[in-house]
Amino acid sequence: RISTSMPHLPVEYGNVTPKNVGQVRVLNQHIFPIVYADKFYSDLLLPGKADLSRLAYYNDVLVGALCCRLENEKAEDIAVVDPSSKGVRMYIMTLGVLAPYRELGIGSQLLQHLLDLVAKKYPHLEDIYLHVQTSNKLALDFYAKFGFQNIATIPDYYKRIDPPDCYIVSKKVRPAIEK
Amino acid sequence: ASSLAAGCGARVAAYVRLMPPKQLQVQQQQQNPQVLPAKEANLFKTALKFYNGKKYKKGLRSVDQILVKFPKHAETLGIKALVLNSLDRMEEAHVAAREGIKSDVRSFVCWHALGVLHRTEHNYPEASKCFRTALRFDERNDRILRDLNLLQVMMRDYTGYIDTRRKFLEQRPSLRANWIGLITAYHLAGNNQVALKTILTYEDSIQPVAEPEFEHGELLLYKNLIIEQMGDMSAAIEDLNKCERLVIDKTQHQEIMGRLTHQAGRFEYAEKIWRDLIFKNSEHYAYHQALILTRSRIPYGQGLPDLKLPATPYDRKASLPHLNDDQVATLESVYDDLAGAYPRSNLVKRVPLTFTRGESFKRRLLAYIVPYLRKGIPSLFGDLKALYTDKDKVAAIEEVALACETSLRTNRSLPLKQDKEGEQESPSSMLWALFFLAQHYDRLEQHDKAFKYLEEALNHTPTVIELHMFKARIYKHAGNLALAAEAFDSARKMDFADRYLNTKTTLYLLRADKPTEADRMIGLFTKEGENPVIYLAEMQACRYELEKAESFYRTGQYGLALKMLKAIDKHFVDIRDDETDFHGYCLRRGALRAYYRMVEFEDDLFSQPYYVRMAKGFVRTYLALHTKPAAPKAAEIDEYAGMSEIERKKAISKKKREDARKQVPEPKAKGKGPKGKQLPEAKPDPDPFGEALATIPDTLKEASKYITTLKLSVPKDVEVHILACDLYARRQKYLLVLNSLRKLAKFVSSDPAAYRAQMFSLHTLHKVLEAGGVTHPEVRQVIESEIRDICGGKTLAQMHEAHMAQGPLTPHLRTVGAEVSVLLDPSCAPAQGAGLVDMVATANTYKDCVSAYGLLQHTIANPATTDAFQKACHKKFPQATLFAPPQASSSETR
Repeated sequence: RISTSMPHLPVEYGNVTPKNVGQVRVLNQHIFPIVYADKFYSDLLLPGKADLSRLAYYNDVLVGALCCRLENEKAEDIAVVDPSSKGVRMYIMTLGVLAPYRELGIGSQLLQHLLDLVAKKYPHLEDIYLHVQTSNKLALDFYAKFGFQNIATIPDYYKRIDPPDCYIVSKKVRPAIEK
Repeated sequence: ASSLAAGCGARVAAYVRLMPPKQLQVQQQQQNPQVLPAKEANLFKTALKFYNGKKYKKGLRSVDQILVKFPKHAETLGIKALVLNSLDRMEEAHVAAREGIKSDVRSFVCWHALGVLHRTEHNYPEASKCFRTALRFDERNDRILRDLNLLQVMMRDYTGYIDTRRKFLEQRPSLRANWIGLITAYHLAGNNQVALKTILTYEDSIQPVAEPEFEHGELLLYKNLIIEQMGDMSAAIEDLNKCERLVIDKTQHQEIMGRLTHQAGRFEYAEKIWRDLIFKNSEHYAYHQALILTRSRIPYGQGLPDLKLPATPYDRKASLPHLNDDQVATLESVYDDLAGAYPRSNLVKRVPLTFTRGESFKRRLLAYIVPYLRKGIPSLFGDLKALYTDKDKVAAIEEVALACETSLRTNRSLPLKQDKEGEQESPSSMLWALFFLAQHYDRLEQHDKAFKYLEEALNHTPTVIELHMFKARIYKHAGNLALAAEAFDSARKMDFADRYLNTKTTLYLLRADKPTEADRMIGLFTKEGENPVIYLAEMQACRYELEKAESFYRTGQYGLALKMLKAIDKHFVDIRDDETDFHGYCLRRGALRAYYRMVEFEDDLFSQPYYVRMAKGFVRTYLALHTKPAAPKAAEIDEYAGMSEIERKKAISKKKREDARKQVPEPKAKGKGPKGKQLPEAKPDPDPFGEALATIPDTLKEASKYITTLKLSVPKDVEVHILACDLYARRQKYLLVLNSLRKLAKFVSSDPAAYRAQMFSLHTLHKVLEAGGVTHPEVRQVIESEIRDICGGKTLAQMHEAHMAQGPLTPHLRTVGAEVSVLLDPSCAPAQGAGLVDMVATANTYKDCVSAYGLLQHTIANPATTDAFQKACHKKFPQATLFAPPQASSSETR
């Protein structure tokens, strides 16, 4: 049961595995208007990438998931991105929590996990960034709270949803580390 | 078998060695072919050594060497038979044994060998005869005596068994096992008095046991069981008290005491014992059942007419007898006290739901389900399902569950009074409430409501696998098995590590008549590198084979169905055979009560549900084959209906290829078996499609074998007698039909299927008599008088009218009623057909309409009526594929 004054849900975390990736697919299909291809899910399972995604469980039920990847403009295949090379960025592919379980701190904990991970394991990244639909006020506020900034707008980024435009929302990593 | 015969070999060696010189001389003088010269005698000993060391091929070589010179040496032939038996070359083994007996009819070795061969082939009566003949020529042969003794108990020839057991004891009275053997022999034979006396004699003959020790304690409890079975409870209690000190398992001792005092009617004492036991383990359902019965002062076994000792009424399946208000009030206060003492016990909260009523029930129910909803325990509905036999409780459950739903919707709370202010339920409580309600309405056959709740739950938290599994279940209940299988498969894809999901998907595929896909599915979790079908047969996976057989039966592939059924039949033969090992083992281990239960179980083996289902499957399949004899590949035409000619050809050849692949096991990696043992090469299946099984000359005779077994093993099963009526009428065994009708009589008033069988059988008998089909005057008289007896002087039409007037007019009875009416008077078919269309409105599930649909299609055969019926059904049960208009059958989804 949850206190109404300080809403917080105790959740447990886990990794994506070949056994449970089907649940992540169901979760994402339910939350996002975009249908991700099979490659999206098989990439999550690439060796060495386990900590780039994170699952949130409440009472053994999957209620939220964070899926990221490392990117380098020069590298064609994300499987071979060397995180210590120059110009590597962390891209948040999806971060979603099922509607009834929102506003209970789960999304924040998932994002905080990512920030901690980057600080600990990938201190040389350029930034953490993602695309947010321009109309998604809730998401924009959420990321702003964690120090993310709108750095660009891409018109007609989405093909099947309206509005089709998105912002690139980014958080610089290195200055924070150097300080 | 090899180790069993080993002793015999040693004995032969002794026999050869110890032959009195005088006899030897005489035989040599006569050139007796039964005596070997020194060189061959040595060879013979070598052969024995090889045989005892399980080196059968070498043994065979030595034996053959002797036989080249002395082809008529009986003992050598006997050993040859044993060696061949171990090599599984049964035909040659029989030849050798018979030749041996021909050359020396007094050779106990050959008789013993022949007995062993018969035993290998499960021909126990013959084997027993051979062993007894062997003993005639060598009375004190321990080995043969032991083999005979085992056969006797396997055949339940207790007279012979006791006799042999007594011989053992006489030979070696100092051996404990010989005493135990005789005691159990008497007990199994039902002679409790002598069994008890033998125990007492044995106890007198040994040093008193001072310290508790398992084997002796078990003997004491076994003695106590015998006293209990003799019915004198005071004596049993006294005896049990005496042996307490020497029994190691005190909990068992206490449980027995609880049972005995209950039987003796010493309720207060019994109640106290069961309370003590609950103190030890509050989660043992039987303890609670016993507490309820003793606290309510209900005599042991009341309401359980077939109670068989030492079975107890303290069993989840044994429903409680009706309790009056006083008894309920007392129990409530007992359980309120217990709840205070064991706040963490689940059963202490669950058990009162079985006996409380009204407001008290509702209050307890709410308190019971709230933690389930909060913690998200998916089994809540399964836990409460047993309560759905009580209509008032169903209503109460619905009320409480709806109250939870409303309360969660309006203020995110559950309607519990003691809840604190300023707290909310976590979001998932709503999900589990919705899930429960969906299951609740599904149970009540309100599939629309069930779907509505399920959809909302799926929208709330789509990642709960149980919701997806349940979706499949509703589809199944609503009559769309193909969609059900699909839905279950998507549940499976959410957790690839879950064997349950995998197995259950297989089941759903079989129910949807997709055996090939089912094989592939179950193969995901069977042993790697092995053909799943063969592997599952090795594992005796009856459930899988049974479901597959039933699927083949539904699709008219009778040969394949018979093949699967045969496989299950084989498992039961093996289970029966496995018993051989336990007679020695249990007695050696001193696990006497377990031994007794094992024998009881084996005696009842053919009443096991899987056996019964298998045997009924055989009867049904053979009956179907009798109606429509197997035409090669006839079944496949149905399977590919709706395809174009080319598509069908492709599909058929594809299936053939798949089937062939299925039959040929994939090459196995060598040395992959357990403990690196090389697996035996699978022989190619000579009858991969079961065509040979389906084309036997007399299917009805084959079916009769199973009916005969079933009539003995499950005499109370209505369906057995219904099938028997049909079968015997077809075999023109009219007296047996009458016999089955008598067995059916008491079910007729309440079971439409039994009524149908009765009317059809009577109708057939009438017809046969009219046509002069029974010529024997006495038989004819018996049949006539029996029919008069059953009909009570009425015509069949009058009987039918009276029966239908009795009601209640369930869809089942209405369907049967129409069928019987048309049988008695074909001219009423149109009216009856119209009646069936009206019936649809009263049907609760699509299943209520299935047999009526068949009746309309095949018997009444009025296309307009059939069409109207199908439309009405489709409107009422839109999910059921059976009634869907042809073009929409696969696209109907939600």
